[in-house]
Amino acid sequence: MMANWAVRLAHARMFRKPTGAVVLLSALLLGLLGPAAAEARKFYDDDPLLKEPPPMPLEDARFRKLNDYYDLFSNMFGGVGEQHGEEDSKTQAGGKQGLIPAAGVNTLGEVLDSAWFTNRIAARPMSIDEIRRGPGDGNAPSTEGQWTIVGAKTQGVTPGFRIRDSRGHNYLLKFDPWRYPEMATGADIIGSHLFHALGYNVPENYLVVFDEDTLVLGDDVKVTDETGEKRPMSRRDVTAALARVPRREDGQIWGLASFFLPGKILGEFRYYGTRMDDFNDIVLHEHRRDLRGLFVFCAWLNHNDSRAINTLDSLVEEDGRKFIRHYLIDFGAILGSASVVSNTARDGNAYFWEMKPALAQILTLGIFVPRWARAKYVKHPALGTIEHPSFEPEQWKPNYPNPTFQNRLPDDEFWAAKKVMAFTDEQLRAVVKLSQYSDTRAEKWITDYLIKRRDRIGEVYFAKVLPLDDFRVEGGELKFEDLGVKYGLMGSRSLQAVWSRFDNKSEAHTAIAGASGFRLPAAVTGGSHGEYFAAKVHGGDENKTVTVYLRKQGQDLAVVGVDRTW
Amino acid sequence: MTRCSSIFWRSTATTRESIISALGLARKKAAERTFAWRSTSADFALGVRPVGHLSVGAKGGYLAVNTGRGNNDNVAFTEDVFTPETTPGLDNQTNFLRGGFFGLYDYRDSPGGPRSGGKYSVEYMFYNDRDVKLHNFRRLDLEIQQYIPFFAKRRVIVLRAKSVLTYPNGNQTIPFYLQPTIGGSNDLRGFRPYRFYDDNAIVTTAEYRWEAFTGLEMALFFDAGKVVPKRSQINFHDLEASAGVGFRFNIRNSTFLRLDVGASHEGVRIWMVFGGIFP
Repeated sequence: MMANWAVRLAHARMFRKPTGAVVLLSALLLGLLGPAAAEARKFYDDDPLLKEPPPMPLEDARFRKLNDYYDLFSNMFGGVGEQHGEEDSKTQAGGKQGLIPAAGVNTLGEVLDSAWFTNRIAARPMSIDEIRRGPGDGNAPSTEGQWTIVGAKTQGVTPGFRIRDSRGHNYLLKFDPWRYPEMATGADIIGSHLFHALGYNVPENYLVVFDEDTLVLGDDVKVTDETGEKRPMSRRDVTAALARVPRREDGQIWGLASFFLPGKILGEFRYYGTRMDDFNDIVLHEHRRDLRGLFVFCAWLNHNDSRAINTLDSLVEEDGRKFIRHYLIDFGAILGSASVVSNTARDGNAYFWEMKPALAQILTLGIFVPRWARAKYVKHPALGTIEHPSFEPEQWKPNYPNPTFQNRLPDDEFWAAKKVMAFTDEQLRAVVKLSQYSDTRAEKWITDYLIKRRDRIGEVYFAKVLPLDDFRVEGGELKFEDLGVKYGLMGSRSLQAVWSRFDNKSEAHTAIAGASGFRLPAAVTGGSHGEYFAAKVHGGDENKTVTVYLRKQGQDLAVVGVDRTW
Repeated sequence: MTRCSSIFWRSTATTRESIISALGLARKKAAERTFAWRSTSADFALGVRPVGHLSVGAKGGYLAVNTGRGNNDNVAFTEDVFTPETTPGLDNQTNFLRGGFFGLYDYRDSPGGPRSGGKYSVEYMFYNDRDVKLHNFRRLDLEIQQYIPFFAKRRVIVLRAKSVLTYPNGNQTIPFYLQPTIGGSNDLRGFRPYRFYDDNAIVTTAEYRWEAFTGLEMALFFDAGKVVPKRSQINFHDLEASAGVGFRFNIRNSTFLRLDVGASHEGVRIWMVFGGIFP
């Protein structure tokens, strides 16, 4: 396994741009591993891999605070990250020159389980209970005893506290803005559960209802006053802060307790490059499929605040080794919420700044009205501003350009869309119920919103490729699911398959005469151990194909790879 | 979730000193004059918000005023051009005790940069001349702001009308420095500050605002207004008018910087103001 990975590291162009140390390491590895290491081939014996090998242990890593404004301006004007090249460049994806294929995937195109991502929905069945459990449900703040405030943010529109419960567990305690009770907390609950089911690492979030007396002020808690001066926090400060948060009819306070992430917090990860003090972080972030595909998830949930500031790296220790785990955090600004206020129609539909649309507005005196401004929005204090009838996922935008999102290709979108489509209506209803909206209309609206936008994602992204998945050999046939048909997005269609022998070293295809259809040809069933075959499937559009690779393993045939063109 | 009515109070104590180099002759388009204005005031407001967006209450305070010769040698001094007969209060310094009532219904969505809702306010104040006993009067301020959004609040029509009416007691007069004025960065933006003043004033504004991009809202505006010596002369005839274009820079739904360019028959004025228009 180790040799396998070393070879892939040495050959794969999508990995971190080599520093001198990496070049030296690669040369050493190639020398040590001999001819076998230098031998390029499409498939290795252990393909398809399901998860990355255990991370190399880290001793330590430094906290790195990313400046919010630097991130804004570098992404908006800096052209950060490696982008797709010209048509004459050497890279190729989807049958097109110049495109840089996604990395961090196995030969089936699936993302590997790693410190970034764990395959859950669509990779295996998930029960409603498992989805509702989310990242965990056993660490809610203890209702026994009081919660001690150990840190505070009292300025801004909504206050927040760092608290420690009677068991010594630490939490971030967050609240809704005064005018929008249940909005940010509800969004955070829905977001953390859905992003967890999709495969990401997220914090455990708990809705909490408590009396003001539950909060006691700890020692040496400082607060920044209106003049910017730090001073000891007083009980009066706590009372004043809590006066700005909405309460329930019985006077109890409603909030969200976010369980502190384990390990040593290291700051945000960026959506481009790699973390140089983490030698497990070898894939350029802008080419990670789990981050490219995140675009689709963010479009679905209108996570327009999906920027580096809402991510976090943490140095954790498992099985005696330390490594960096990467988290998505803070989902209070998804759906119709902007955390401290309601979203505007612009959120999720336009960048903060973009030359052409801005000039169009300035020069036409606003007579040109964007599509999204003509939509009808539902406004509700618990939901903010939402709408789904005009939702076009391809036109969705985060607050400012994200190099990872801009690099997404149709196969990245397909990977993500099939996960979104895997959520059933019942599962989505169950997640929405976790937010405990006091108005049943809010619960219905947000559920409809998720369902309709999910379906639109399936329609759009399953149409960009041939949406075949779950390839397997059964009863002497190549079987698969046509996801477009499965989800009722398109009628049944006629598909053809053309078979070939595949040379794993030269990657050359040799047609098998007369072999077509999904019944395995005799040349395939009678192949020798270790021999590779390919079936190229299309549905009439020659540009949209799926090539399925099979390997003879004894008497069996295993699906070892899938390539898509569009 | 609950929200409750509340009682509020505010108190302010201010001292101001400024040289005003803009007062023209009431109703007539006269040249610029200059005078110095110094005031010290202490005021309070006590009110209650019985329901939702409604506030009612009382306010009062003490105002000490001192006017004098301005320091702008480029224009004429007010007292050299006008007489106490034409400009009440020019010769006598006095102080005022003032008090009255106010009502406010404010349902704007974001007071720092509203895109929908409205604000309707009325204030009735008594001014009691404590020293020379020549300037006892009452003052009624009425203001309506209406924000009409369309296209998902990315376009807004703003309508505003404001009037200030004064009621002198008997033969008393309104001192010129407490007379309502129009012209400046908030109304009649094509004219210099304090361009028109008299005992009564009315001013209206219409703005069409549109979002250019996040953080910048643009506006086309039209202002019209006039000042008159008698309340019965308040009407919409013979209004002074100005029009222009504005740029409003916003952060988190609040305007922090405004650049307005107003044009009138007296020329073009450029205003750069920190904060929004129509407080």
